[in-house]
Amino acid sequence: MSRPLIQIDDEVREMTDEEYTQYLELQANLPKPLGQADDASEPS
Amino acid sequence: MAIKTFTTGEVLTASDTNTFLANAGLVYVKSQTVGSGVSSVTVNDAFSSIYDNYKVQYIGGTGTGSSVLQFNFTGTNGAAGWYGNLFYANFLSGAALTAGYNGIGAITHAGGNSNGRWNMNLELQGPFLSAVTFLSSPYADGNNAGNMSGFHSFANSYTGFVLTPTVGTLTGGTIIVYGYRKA
Repeated sequence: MSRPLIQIDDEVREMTDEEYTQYLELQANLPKPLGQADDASEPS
Repeated sequence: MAIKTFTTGEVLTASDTNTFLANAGLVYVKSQTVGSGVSSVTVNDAFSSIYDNYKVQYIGGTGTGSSVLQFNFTGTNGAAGWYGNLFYANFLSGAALTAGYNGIGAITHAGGNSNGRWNMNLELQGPFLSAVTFLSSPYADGNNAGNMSGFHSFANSYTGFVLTPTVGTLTGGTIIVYGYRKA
């Protein structure tokens, strides 16, 4: 299974399994698109 | 020693040129050309002890119209340390709106995408210092515009950063890092 491409400085290659896991976690926790209801609260 | 007043006829030495004329207030640090169809771009060795504050720009690249840019420091592995807000308004309605980031893994709306073309003009205060880093960036996409401000709560020193689009990939364009000269 091919992974998405990642670029580190001048190097472009497929993501490693670990990088892909981190990428999916980031994608799973994206803020809502603009224009949708969002709760903003004070940081602790 | 930041400036020197040269007198008429004074010899301009290489040393004086390098010290007083070559180093302006905003100094080029490095640039990175973005490849084709990449899901993220990491720029290493961007921040150092030479400067406390930086400007990071990205222009000329293309991507999916609905996508926005997320910014994070290298080495954090997505740990939830970003807080901030985007204040913006829709071009059509003009009503003021906000989007909040309350402890997320990468600050969002660091840059926007308008007509498939990326833009980012990010200001960073203290990324290399072992302290909280503050940042701000104007934001514009095909439907909205505003300003994002926030901070990274971990008091760590960072030397690089990563840009990740929320949708699709990045293709082309150049990321440029500038440092604000201290003295």
